[in-house]
Amino acid sequence: MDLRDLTGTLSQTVASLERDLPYASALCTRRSGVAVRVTGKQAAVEPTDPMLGCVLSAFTGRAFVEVSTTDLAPAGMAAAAAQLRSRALEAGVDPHGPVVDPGPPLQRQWTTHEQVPAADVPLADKVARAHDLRARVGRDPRTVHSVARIGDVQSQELFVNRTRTLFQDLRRAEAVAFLVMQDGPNQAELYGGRSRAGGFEHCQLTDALMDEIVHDCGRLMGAGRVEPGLHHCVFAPDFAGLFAHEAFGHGTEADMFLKRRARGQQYLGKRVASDLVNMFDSPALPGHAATFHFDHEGQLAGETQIIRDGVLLSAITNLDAALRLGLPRTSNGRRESFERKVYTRMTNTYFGGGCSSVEEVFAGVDQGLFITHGSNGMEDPKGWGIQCEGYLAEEIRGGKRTGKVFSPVIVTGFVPDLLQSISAVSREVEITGLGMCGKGHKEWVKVTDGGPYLRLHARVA
Amino acid sequence: MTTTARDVAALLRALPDTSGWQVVESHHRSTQRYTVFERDEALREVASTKLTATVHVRQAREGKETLGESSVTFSPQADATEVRALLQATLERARLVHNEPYTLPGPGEDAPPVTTADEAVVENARAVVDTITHSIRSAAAEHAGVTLSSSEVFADDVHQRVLNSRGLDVERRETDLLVEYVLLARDAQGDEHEIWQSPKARLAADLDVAGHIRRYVQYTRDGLSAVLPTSGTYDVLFGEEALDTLWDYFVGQAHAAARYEGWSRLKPGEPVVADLRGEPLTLHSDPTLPGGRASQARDAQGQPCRKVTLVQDNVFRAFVATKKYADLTGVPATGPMGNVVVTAGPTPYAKLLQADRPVYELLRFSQLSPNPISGAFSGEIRTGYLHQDGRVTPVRGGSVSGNILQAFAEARFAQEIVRRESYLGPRGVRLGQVAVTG
Repeated sequence: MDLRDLTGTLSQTVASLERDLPYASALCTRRSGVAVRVTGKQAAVEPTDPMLGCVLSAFTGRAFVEVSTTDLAPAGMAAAAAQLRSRALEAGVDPHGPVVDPGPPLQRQWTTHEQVPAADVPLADKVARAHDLRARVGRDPRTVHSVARIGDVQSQELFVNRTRTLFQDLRRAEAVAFLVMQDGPNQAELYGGRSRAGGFEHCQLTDALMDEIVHDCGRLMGAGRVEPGLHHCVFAPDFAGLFAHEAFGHGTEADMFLKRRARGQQYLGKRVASDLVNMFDSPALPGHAATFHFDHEGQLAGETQIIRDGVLLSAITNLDAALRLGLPRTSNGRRESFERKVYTRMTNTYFGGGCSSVEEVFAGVDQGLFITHGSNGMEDPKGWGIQCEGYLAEEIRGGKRTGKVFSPVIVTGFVPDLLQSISAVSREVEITGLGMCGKGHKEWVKVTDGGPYLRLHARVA
Repeated sequence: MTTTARDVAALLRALPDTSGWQVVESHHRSTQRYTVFERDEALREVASTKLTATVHVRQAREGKETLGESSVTFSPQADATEVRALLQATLERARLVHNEPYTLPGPGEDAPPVTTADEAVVENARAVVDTITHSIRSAAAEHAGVTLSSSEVFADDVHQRVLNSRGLDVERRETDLLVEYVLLARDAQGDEHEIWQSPKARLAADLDVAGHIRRYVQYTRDGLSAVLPTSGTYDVLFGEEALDTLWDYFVGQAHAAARYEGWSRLKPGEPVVADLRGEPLTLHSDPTLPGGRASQARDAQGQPCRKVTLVQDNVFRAFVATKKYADLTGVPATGPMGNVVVTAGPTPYAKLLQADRPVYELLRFSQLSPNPISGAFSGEIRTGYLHQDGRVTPVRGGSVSGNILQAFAEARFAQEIVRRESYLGPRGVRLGQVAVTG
């Protein structure tokens, strides 16, 4: 079934709901694709978390009421609409409540360009590619477990409200390699990969990246822990991205403002970072894994500059938060799936580039740590605490990496202190696409993050 | 007209060359209510149904018998022609796979009686959600200076039917209640501090929202005067939320999948922690605890789940194994990991905090996830207390880090037992050689 065939049904449903309710919309989504996963012991060729369903939404002037269903047959949709109408009317309509602007009329559709369409590649070739990747990542004799995964995802989304019919066919492909090494009593793990908008052309990892993963995993075995305390640091672009995401990505999600859960609300227009710092969120960034053309509430994709020259400039919003706070709508209303609610969510989030070379960033550190291979983080937008974890820290002396490594590593601190301490920012920005982002401990959506090399002062253990 | 698991089973029987198959028909209902301060933010109802079919095909490669396998998920609205085509494509995918053979669970083995569903949720989820939402509001209102910022309450009901080619035909039903609440408390300077919590339970009776809020309000009030910890290496008593994840290294290493893939370091009959100077660990997987969030009578493939002792007195005893990994590693099938059950120690909790040197009592972290491969752990401290010379000082911020294998060498387990969502065991565990960074 082509999702676009549902346009008429959805338009009629929205019009019918709006006879009794101030605003209604519908979103149908379908996810498909294939993932190949190969280890030293087994393989799997499976659909990529397949999903097909629809969510009907209504705003009563007080609250959003939604019904989600997998029954897309006319009778199923009619039943869902009837259930929604009944539930919304029972909740009560407020004719004096905030008014939703459905946006200027627009009917449009987009499809992600694939240089090598994933659907055209024989499955046997995908399996062979995964075996090749695994053999390359598992080549070190100390390897006890290695995994390669390649996959493609097609996400089709159809949004309909009274003025808009938008359809996007998003294609994404990724390749990931993971390995575990053992040497006597020491064991270590590391992974790397890429995820990009597009087709099978992205299901490949460069020799340089594979060499780095294997080499660094070997270095992690037996590595000691960092002497805990404050250190001069250089964050690699991947770790800078993790920092951006946790520091002021979550902290500027406007649905957190509504709940008074983000201290950043009081700092809009104020300095929160060194004047070298610029930060952005943009689903309109071409070619990245969290790139799209409209969000799950029909808002067209655009860039939001969150921090400009150290000053907190803008929040990112979804429809409800923008409506109630009087903030501009940005394209950040996203759902984990049609079964879940919309929240304000990040997309491609990154620090902007600066004016230093990478060598100049390192040159400013007489004694310190280079931190890379970020693994996970946790935000605290109310308290402005932060936790970012990584696999590897390498000693810097006299502006040079010495080869002495520590693992794992955890960076904690007070977000403005960390951001204010940034003293050098390299020119080139690198964005990595392997991340997923949760709200609290659920609601997982695809995100990317990145940045340049950053020099700063941080508490590291 | 919708397609059922029985319909798919009939089509699978007719599919040529298969050596085995499984169909799972899943019905998921979710009732969700979200509030922001006094108002409802969103009210949601979800009903989804899906069918997942798995196909096995025996084949050969390089003179060895291999198993091809793949699966497909589709809507019950798919008609027989569509399903037939989907199954044929699944068979083609399966042929690209050459794994070691294993068999699906068969019928005849009884599952233990386990309570995993709350009838009230099954019958009227909305009433349960409204009651919990009201109890959060009431409990928050009991605490002066505390404001309820927001809440989310989900009541989920999943009903599955599992059929396979060996004649298995079983049903599973699980309810799940997920609560999130955020409270705001003001300090003497008027600054607000947040309490975010997410208690979960299978049964509404196990959700003590009022007690939960009371405990966390106290942590937050203590946190208003908290200081950074002092950097150094200390004995640390882990309690409260830390108990949910502190065992991740042992649990990860004790899965038969880890043994099969070659990264488990555990060997039956050998010590888990070398150079033990403290108390020995005894750890079980128990999928039969009533209402436990890891409780289940049968796993996703219909295999009956069993209680198993993983570690007895610091000696590794047995792996937890799904039917697949049991076949592949030659160990008994137990189903996946159940609730973590740890044997208590001889010392009262309060006494573990008394020592001739400082002891940190750490209860909440931003995230504490010991690595199942290396055993390394780190976490930013959200709630903790320094016990020193008879004084108790709240601490917050900074971090804790170490390695589970070194830290458990000096473990001491509290005498008191607590039950958490999927944990039953000592209220606290004191570990040594833990680095604290302030």
